[in-house]
Amino acid sequence: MEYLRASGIDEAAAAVAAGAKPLAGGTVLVPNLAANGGRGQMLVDIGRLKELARIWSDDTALYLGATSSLARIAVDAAIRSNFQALAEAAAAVGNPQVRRAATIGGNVALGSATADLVPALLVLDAQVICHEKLAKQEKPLAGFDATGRLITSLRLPLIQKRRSAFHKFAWRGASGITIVNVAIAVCLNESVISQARVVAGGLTQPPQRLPDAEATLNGREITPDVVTKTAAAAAAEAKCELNGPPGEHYRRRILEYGTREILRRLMEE
Amino acid sequence: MAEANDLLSIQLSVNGHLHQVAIDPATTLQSCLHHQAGFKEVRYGCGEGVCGACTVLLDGEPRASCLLLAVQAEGSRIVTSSGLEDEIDCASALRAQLLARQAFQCGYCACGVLVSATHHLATNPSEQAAAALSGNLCRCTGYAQIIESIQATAHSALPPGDSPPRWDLQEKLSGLANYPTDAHQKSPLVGRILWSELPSARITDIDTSAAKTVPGVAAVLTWRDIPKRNNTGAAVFSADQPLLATDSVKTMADAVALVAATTTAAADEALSKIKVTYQVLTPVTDVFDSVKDGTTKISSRGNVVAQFIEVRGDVDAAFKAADVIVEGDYSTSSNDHGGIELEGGTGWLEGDTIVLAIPHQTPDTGQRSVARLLGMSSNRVRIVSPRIGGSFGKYAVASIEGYLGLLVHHTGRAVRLVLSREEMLQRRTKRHPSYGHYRLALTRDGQFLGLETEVLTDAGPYVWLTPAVTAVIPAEAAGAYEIPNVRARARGVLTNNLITAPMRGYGSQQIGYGIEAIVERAAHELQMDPGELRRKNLKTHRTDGKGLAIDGAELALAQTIDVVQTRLGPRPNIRPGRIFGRGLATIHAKYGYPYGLGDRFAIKIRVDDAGHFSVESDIGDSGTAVPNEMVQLLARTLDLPQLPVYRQSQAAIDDPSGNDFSRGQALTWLQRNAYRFIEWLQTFSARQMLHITANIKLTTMMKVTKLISRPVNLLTATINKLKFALFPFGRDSFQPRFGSSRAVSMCALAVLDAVERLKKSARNTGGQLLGAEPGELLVDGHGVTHQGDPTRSATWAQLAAAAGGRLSAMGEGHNPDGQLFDPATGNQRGAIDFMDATHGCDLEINPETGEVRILNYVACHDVGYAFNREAVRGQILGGTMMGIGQALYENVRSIEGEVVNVGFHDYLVPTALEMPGNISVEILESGSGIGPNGSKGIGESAAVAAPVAIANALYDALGVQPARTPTTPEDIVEMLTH
Repeated sequence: MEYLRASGIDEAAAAVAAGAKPLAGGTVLVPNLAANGGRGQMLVDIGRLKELARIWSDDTALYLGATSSLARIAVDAAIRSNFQALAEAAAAVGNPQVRRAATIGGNVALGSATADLVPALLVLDAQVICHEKLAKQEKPLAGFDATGRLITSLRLPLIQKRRSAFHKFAWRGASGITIVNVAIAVCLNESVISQARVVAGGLTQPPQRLPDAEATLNGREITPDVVTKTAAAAAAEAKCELNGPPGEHYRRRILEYGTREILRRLMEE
Repeated sequence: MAEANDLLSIQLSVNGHLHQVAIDPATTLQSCLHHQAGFKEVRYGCGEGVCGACTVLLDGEPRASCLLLAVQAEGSRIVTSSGLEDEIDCASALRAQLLARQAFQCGYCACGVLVSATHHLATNPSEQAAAALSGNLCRCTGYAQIIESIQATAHSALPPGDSPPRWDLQEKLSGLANYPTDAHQKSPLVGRILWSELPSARITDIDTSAAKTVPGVAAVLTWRDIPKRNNTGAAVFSADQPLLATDSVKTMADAVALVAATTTAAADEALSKIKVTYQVLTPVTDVFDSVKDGTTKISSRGNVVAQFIEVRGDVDAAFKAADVIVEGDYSTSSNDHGGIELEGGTGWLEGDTIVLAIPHQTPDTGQRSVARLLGMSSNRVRIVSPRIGGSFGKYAVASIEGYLGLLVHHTGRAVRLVLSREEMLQRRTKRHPSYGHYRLALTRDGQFLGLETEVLTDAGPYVWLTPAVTAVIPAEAAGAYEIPNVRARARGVLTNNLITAPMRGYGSQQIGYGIEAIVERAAHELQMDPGELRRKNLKTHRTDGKGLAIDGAELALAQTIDVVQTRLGPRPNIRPGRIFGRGLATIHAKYGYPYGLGDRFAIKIRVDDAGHFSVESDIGDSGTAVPNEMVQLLARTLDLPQLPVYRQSQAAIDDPSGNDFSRGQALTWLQRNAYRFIEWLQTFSARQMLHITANIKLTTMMKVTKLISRPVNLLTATINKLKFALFPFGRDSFQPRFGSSRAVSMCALAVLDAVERLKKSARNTGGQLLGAEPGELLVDGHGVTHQGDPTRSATWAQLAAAAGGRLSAMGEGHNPDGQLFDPATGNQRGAIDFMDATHGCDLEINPETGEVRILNYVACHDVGYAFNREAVRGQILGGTMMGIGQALYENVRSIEGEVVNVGFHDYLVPTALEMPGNISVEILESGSGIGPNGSKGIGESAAVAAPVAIANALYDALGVQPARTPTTPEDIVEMLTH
């Protein structure tokens, strides 16, 4: 195994382009390494790069450095007020020790079906800012492939009058594997939804957008009737590729429930 | 590439000091701290950040050090549990609370918990402590006493003073305690096991030639390399699993080959280069298939390996006369013992003796089984069984001693073999799953008339200890109740599933679930208060060796129900959108051996010429308070100014008859072999009896049991008499000793016995010393004093010096006399004593998701007499949490004989967030137990009661009865829909 402690982003990006894996929180990478001794792997430690751990914003967007920890995202005041779904998703991962280690960049790079942050980031229209070799790029999160690229930050556009929320369902209060998660963001014009995003995780890899559910929200106010219809639409349209246990029927039911819970919360706000 | 990575030299700041270490860059911080820098308190449990045993402060924040590479921590400030006091003000206050409340048992998780808990107190004590602890798993305690300690520290409350503190906890919390998976030798070889790829197959070839050429490989071993007897299992009963597979595999838990190499990488590469050619066979994975005619025979003697019955009265007439008959099928799942420490240890050579530091509850049987495997004398094998990070019955049978012993024998070097969490889940022993059918006949007003039960237990493909587990089932079929007419049968059945071991409340747990479920069903159908129905039918007395009620041994079962119902109070108002359920379970579950089996525990008290007391026995520490109770009982009884020291004695382990241990001299060849012959005769006759009776019809079985009960009683009585005559002190080698609930009663009796003998020799020695009659001397904590002239006295130190440097006395606790079988019926007489308890549970269900929240939980136990209330509470709280896990979360899932759980992230041991909203333990002291002051064993009882109390609450809520454990949210939704 080769280990390189990067002294700057360029060095890290070059290493990643050459096939190294970026190492920061290590919550997934380190157990795998420990299991196979890291044979043939190259790791580039980006945990010391302070510029990657920053959270900052400008007039148009919030920027999250790739190595921002989930524990910090869960409690960050700016995120909790404007990007609630993300804060809630971060708080729902693993357990306190894992949240202090795990990073947003790692969660995105994993691309796992049960990565809790991805649905939240998708509804918030996150853009991935990354280095491919030495070229800085910005790519939409949907369809993003981390291979050979170093994620440096995520950009979340700041949209006025947008509300969002996240719901995770697992069978244990901590360290639970996500059975279904769902994130919803709605932009409001007065009380009418001008644009809705609904994304479900745990059922497909990567998480899926649910356009029918979005359509039932767009142009409407959140009323109990709309809540019910949206939840039903989400459960009906979702593709369910990861099954059992629990089985598909149950997963759809939970998706419906989660969607309803989120919308009720948004309705009350 | 089998070569290790190049070493990196790094500097770590730990507890304020810099440590220079040279490491492979792939080394985790946990491994580096624990193995290289000597911080034993940083322990390994899961390697995936779920269990938190490795928690340290990294720059002030609790982190799982198994998720970090050591190189990543360079430049950071690391604080382990032992550095907390210098770092955080409240640390020592919290530690004092944890000790006073006896908040840990095995202690393996303690140091990690301490880090999380201290950080929580120092940063945000107003938040929920359970959430802060949710990254730390504890299998023993149920978290309650930990959280109480945190709250008490936050409010600067005084620790409770009514329970004598456990001396072992100080050591466990300091990180000094030695566990089997700790480093015992420098740079041992890495041992690995090649497991079967299939649950059932013939092996046509094993080719190890390529594996042997891997650089760094010291040994690649197959069955051909076993010098003598190729077997493992329950040495005390049936060691019928080949240690290494020869021409077939019958379970994924079969080992095919062993490897030892200088590095993990080399060992892994060698494993991957062993070529095993299999011919696939169809596995039998269902017990009902297994008992069908024509099913593949897993063992040449058939698939049913044990059959036990209990028949009394006229069941058919009872069912005819009944007003109401209720019927149900209930099964209990496969569970992992779930101790936080991995199964493993280190073995090495000392001269020509093989020393194995491994987890084992019966080290003497482990030593002999390794000796038999290697064809050497058993005094050339030593098992040192230090503290164990959670056992719960797992190590009552074979652990890894055979694999490790063979590797050490062949390499001549130190070898460390530690299974991964995945291997433990997928390849090692599990609780016996059970499948039962239950019918209960009642009168309209709730009098139990008759009971019929039929239970199958899934043994896996080997017998191991299955008969002992299965025998309990019919014997306890009636549970806590007087039922005049009973027909109960249980059979142990072979399948190609995993191997099995006893687990907390074995047998009682499986049947307890069924009987309490059917009783609850009866209450539901009769629309009668479940407590009322139970009260009407309760057993009233403990019974003696002839089955007669013992005067003065009144059971407090009715009171346990009253207390629980009172504590639960009226049904609470529930949040809208939730369904409420309340469940009860009353248990009367065995602990201790049945009457008729000569179960003996021996201990020795020693006083040295400095007047220091010690207690010795073969009992180790898996978290039960037994050694602690022994030293405290001794201190109390003699009123000693200082707490004695406890020692696990190698002499006691080495000699199962106890004679060497007692007299300090070796047994003669004849004595040793006479003892072994007696033991062999006991097991052999029991095994033969099981073979003969396993497959006969119930009616024939009834005749057979009646026919054989007298001769078997006679045989066991003769054997016992012979043993007691030949070996006046002894410990039967039949049983697990330190994990079992009875250990505390038996050992306490042994301590009291030894104290009497010690007093006698103190008087004799003192008499000579002071020129007095022994009868004129009084004995107390200081020594002896003349009753007429207090100036004539001798201290313990003087007595010991006068006696040649030491004074010692042996004591024994043993089963009361009794018969194994009732000659009139052929039924088992049953255990010498029982644990009595009622649990009550209030829960709410979210009908949309099937999620369950336990709102209020009350556990009321009659413990006979509580010597140490906090220790008793800890056992009850921990057993309850384990029961909650079994009822709602834990399930070893198999697909065609292959377990799919891979780690603690998908085998759901409850975290602190799964604790009931409120849990209270009520302790009754009826004085009806067999121990000193009428005390009883306690360790297993809560794990028997809790799963079914919760299942009964689910039944109350849903109107449909859970048919198996665990009941998942998906099951609940299903039950609500249909």
